[in-house]
Amino acid sequence: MTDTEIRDVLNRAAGDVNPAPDLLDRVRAGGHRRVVRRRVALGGALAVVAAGGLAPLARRRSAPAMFDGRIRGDLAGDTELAGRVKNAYGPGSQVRWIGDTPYGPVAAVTKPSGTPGYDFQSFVETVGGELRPADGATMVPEGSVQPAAMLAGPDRDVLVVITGPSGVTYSEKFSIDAAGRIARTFEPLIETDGAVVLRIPAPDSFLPIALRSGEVPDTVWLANLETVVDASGRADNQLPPRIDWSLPGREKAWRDEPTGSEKDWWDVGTQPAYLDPFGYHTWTGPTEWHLSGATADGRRLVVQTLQLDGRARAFWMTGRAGEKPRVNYLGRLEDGLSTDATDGFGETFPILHARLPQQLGVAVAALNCQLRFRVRGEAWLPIAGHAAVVPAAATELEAQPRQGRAIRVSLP
Amino acid sequence: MGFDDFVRSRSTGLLRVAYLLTGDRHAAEDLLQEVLEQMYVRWRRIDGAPEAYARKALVNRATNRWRARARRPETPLGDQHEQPEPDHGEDVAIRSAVLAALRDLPARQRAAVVLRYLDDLPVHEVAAALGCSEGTVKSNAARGLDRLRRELGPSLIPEGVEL
Repeated sequence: MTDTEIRDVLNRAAGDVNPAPDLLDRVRAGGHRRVVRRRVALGGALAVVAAGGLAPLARRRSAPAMFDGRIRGDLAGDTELAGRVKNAYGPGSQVRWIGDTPYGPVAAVTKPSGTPGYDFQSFVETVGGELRPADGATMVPEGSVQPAAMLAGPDRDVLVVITGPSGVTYSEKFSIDAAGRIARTFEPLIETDGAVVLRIPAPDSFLPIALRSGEVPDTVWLANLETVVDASGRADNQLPPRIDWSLPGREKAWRDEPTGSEKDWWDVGTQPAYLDPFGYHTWTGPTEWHLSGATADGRRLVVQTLQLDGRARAFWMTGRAGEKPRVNYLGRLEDGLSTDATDGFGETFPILHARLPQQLGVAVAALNCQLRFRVRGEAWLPIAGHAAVVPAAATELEAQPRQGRAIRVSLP
Repeated sequence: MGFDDFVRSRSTGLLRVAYLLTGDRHAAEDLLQEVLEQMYVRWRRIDGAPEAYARKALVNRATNRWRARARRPETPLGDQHEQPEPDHGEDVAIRSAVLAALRDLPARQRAAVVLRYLDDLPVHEVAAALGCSEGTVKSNAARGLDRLRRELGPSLIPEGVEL
């Protein structure tokens, strides 16, 4: 099959898809709502900043735009170095900032992208005494430089941030609070001539930092995230499968399937508080489950796992149609909610077994396994499919992979 | 170009990309609308090369969407939106095979293949959209194409034709 044939089949597959006639109207209406939401969010952020006694955002907002054609940074006067940086980044490149770091000079650079009106923006760093471009680049409007960052040094423990005119806030680490949400504290980075050079703890197997830019909070591109993550061998981008499983008895409680924002109530994977949108994370991790069913009294029930950096948290929610459910946190899977087993191919697979409060049962799941459970020493009862919420009285679970021996797990 | 003109002239192409990235027509429509809403809010900042911005946002959101695809259960091929009509049976079969093959690709391979071969973008623009190096784009696209060839070859090449 040739490349041309691939092009042809992709075109034929997508060929007759057309946008709705009222797309523009809907976009404009939705855009207005976003403006309002972001203003509300910004108001909250300002309140937090003021309460913490940090530098007021207004001061950062009025900071001078750095991209007026002159090179910035403490090494800006070194024209010979700037020339070598340009050579390293290639034809048409411009040095926007150049400064010293504990590992030698680093520069923020741009060059034409080949797309009219757009430049590439990236970094050049010093590696082994030589100037070397960072692996990635981001596209920015021509003539501008956007907030961006890179990790310099052999241990990637020096953070270089181009702050831009609206400022960047920094969070060194995050924690998971008692509700399973990502908790962070952001503090403004005080820029010097358009950038900040900051020593940070060397990333181990994960990168805990976060950067947030602008008056309307936005993410900050990290130039060599891929390189840093690759170094730990986890960047194969193998997204864990997300399995959505309808439990028996679901139909009545979910007769009116939620839509729009109501649908998001029932999915913590859509709620920013649980996702760390300004952090840098890998996508690897155990299977994500979203089990939806009903409680004995007819309420909706959702049990969900959500991965982050190779780990997963478990949540449950109940509520009636039209009610916003409270998200309840069960804990991290590694804390007794899951057991790792090995199948006959030598592959490790997780078995979820999360006991729910209020006698709601035990959520169990194992991908591509036959499951059964029992109560104390009684007969084994089969489970249809990969997942279920078994009765609270269940005391033991068995998972039989396609190849290999069955694994038994007690359900305390 | 104003925002309205951009939407009118480019939404079809972007929707096609979104469709192959998500594998679901409704999800693609949602995705495109979300990206365009985001662009509407930021239009003054991104005016100049909005299509590249849109493409990058589509890829980023499609990755998250793929991860959280149960927000809207995927519409199985063959439902009311994709009922094979007498004259379009072959197209439906192709779509089914292509979407199934794309679904099995890791997200970056899928995005690299779609942008490179559906959108016909040069490698450097795909790299910008994915936020990675050109070498990574090439390797992802090559691996993705290999898998697509393996998956699609038998179902799309007529019998008797050598691959």
